[in-house]
Amino acid sequence: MLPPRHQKAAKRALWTYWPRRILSDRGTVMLLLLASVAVLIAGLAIPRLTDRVRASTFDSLGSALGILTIPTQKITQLVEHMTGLSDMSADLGRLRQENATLKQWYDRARQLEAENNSLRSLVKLANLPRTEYTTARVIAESGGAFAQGIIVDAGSAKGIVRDIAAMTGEGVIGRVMVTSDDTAQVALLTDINSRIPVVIENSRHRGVMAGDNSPQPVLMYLPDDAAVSVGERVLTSGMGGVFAPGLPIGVIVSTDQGRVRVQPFADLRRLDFVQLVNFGRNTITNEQIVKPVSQKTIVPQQGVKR
Amino acid sequence: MTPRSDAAVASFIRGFILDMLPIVSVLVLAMLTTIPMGFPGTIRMGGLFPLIGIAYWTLVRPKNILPFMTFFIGLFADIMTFSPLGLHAFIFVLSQSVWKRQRRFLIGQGFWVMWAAFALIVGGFFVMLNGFQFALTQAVVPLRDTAISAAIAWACVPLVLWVLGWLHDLIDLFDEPIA
Repeated sequence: MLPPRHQKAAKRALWTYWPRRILSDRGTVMLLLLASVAVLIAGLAIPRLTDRVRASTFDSLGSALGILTIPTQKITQLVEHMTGLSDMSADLGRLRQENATLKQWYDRARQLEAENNSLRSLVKLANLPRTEYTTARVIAESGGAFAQGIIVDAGSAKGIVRDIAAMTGEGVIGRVMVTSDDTAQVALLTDINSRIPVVIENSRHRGVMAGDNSPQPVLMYLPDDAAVSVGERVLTSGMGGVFAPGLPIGVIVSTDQGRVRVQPFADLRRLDFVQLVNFGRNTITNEQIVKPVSQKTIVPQQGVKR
Repeated sequence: MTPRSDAAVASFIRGFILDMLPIVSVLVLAMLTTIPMGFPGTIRMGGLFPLIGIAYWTLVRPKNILPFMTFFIGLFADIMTFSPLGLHAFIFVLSQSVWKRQRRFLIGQGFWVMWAAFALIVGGFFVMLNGFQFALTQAVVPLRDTAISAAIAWACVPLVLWVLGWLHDLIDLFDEPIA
């Protein structure tokens, strides 16, 4: 034990002594509640400020989150492995069948590639912009109900810029909204602020796919006479220059009450690694940032034939 | 430095670390919220885990989790959960204030009463969160997913409390009372 004189000094020196005295009143609670409301209003009024703060925080916590993610991913993989053992036999048969189909498609793709190259040389088509791929690991996802997004461990230091596409092997999952040095925030297709120009594969009708925080985004701005049916594939249209045309997004799963809903091909719940793809297009400048759009503005599509 | 002042510095550092442990544990809980868990649909925990931590430390070590600390933890949870800044701060400060008033009743209760009390915390949290979400985005989270989120969160309460209880024992073990 310390002598009484030093004990007293140590107690006074404790960093929390005066803050405790000052900030433990009930009035403080009221003050903090008001401060919360003020911050809330300021954050909604200046969304860029919130984005910047969030990006900086994730930048600082990037490695810590990466460490925390590893055991969770291992456990998830183990559970999937255990549950998948029983289905292995059925999977094997399905994979053999898929493999046979894919071999046919491979041959077809080779033929088309050769034909494409030949036609390009005939018409002397200018070189397409170079596509750059960056693979990144998902280190965090939005745990809240306000946004559907992920944080990946690649940022501007690796050449990631705002508005480039995020994809998995199955298709598009979203686009980069905010970048910092070492991390980037990707807004998923299901995010309420996500708007992606799309085209329906067979009918070639163009529209915009809008997220509404539900697992299945909505197709908007389709022509009134668009005949849309369940099972049709939805691809990027390339309008706006952010995404290359023809990237797979999802499949139409419902057209109830004039609302066409799309199930993304990629499983947005299980994203371990994603590819950030820069198609060499012009990115939208910061001044063109679209403000959050409330669901009130989503107009149900009329005239959708079932 | 004399041996006496050395001892004072060591005591200060130890006290500082022990004082910070509850806050650090709550911040880690907030970070855990963002770890991809693969929950289906719109099942999301929001900032519930840090709130459980705040409630626990408010009961057992209220001087280590003052309202202004809760406010900043709330801001941190807002950042982690992609929520509008200030939202979780508001919910956390309000919840802690209400919870603190029940401290005398809850402090001596057994596990089952505590678990039931945490059901109120979980339920209140989701009501407030979904209310704010609807007010700000006009988007309604499906009731089923909200109920599942609340059930998962409530089921996790004993595990979180066990870890925090272990931490509390650890602090008690190393805490040297100062007269």
